[in-house]
Amino acid sequence: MGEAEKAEINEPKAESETKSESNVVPVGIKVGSQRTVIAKGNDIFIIETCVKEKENPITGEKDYVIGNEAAELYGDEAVYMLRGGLPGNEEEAELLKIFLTRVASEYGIPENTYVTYGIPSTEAEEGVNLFKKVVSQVPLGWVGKEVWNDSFLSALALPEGLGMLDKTFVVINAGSTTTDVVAVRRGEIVFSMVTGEVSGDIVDRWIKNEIMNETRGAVNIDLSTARSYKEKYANLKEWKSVQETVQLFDKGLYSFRIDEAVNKPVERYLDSLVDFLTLEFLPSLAEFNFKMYKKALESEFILAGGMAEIPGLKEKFATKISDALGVAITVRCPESPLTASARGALLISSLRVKQ
Amino acid sequence: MELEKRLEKWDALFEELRKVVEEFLPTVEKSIKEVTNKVSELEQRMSVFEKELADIRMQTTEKSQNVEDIKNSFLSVVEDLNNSLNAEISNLRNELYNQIDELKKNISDVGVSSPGVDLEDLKNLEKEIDEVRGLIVKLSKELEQFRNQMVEKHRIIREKKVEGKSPRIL
Repeated sequence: MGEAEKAEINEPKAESETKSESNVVPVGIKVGSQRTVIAKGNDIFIIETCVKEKENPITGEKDYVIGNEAAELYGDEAVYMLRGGLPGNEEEAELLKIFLTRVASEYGIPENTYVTYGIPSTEAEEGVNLFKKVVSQVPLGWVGKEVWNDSFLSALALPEGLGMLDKTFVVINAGSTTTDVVAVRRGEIVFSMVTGEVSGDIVDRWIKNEIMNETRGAVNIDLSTARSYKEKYANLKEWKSVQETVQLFDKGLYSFRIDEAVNKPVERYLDSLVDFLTLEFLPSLAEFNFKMYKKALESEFILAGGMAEIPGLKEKFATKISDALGVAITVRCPESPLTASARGALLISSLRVKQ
Repeated sequence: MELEKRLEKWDALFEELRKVVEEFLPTVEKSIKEVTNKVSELEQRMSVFEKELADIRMQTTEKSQNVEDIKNSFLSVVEDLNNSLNAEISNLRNELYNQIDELKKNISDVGVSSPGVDLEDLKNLEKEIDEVRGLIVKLSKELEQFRNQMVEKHRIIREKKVEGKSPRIL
């Protein structure tokens, strides 16, 4: 089994009783461009959505290394096959199929599962059709499968659970390649927008550039290192000085500060996110459905996705957006925003299994 | 007497009626005329506004089409630029490799024909050349990644869905 991150989630007692009654296992899977999150029972698996093809040197046969192992061993050589959360062509769909098949086997996910998938909202019909084709071919969800909007699923991970179906709210899914914003009214998506201009991977590139500037070109890290710095050191609650040391050719040991190089891009990202909401999403919503726009300003803004894991981001976002809009906006985050979509998907699957 | 009273009463009524006809009715007529004029004025302004709105609608449609066209042509320009950049880098890389191979060949020839030349320096030079080669490979990969990211980003720069629908996709 590859590397896995496990977390406790609360499950209602009835579900374990139901599981014992039938052997159907409910599973929630959020398939992302950077990471795939799988929720199964009390386990959460977070897996890099990448694949590395290699050749067996003895037999010459093609083999694949997937997920966290591929990312760790091969770094930037590993192929992240999804764009905007969906395959863009047949080749990427094939890689996704290989990835999911191997994930099912390596993480012990049986065939007799009811699987709910979370994918981004998109107009790209081709991507959705390719995804549909892949999920029909992988050995998962043979009892049943559904595909839902992943931003909506994140909201179900809040303590209210299915109670969110009676509420009106806005979800901001701050992901690695896209930011997806949906306005939901009583279980219906009224309006949504997706942008690639505000996203986690742009922050990674900014961090890489900041470090290059700070070290005057001496240190040129790759994007996956930039991302790991972001995940480890980004903190908008308390800004601590963090030094990193590298061995440089002809210079020996070289120290530089990475906290500024990490937190400044995150602040810049936050400003871009607020701008996107206040200058694009909300005006478009107002133009399309003014009543819903007014309702949205009075409702909760739910921040989800990997970027929302950064300490202090939610609080700073709440302050900035309230200032920009001139009204106090309530911002909430589900516990572990990165895994919220998958946990919401698991809730749906559990419900289906109970039914 | 009674007749006089009745006549007085009729006279008074007649006076009132005369006042209505001579004073009130013209006022009412005048008001009606004013209102009628105002209504026709408003109707004219309304038709002007309707025309302007239709024009604005047409312009907006044209502009959206223009924006779409501009976006598409920008995307194709970016794509072309990326392709030509990649081709250029590929050519440069191949040329550099060829020159490195030639240089290496010359270095080994020099080593053989001029034993007095400092071999240590030559080895260092060879090492540096190999490092440069490695950096070029790394740069190519980064450029490829960057190209994929930028093409994808521009594809989804703005996607708006304006239909109320169920969050369940399939």
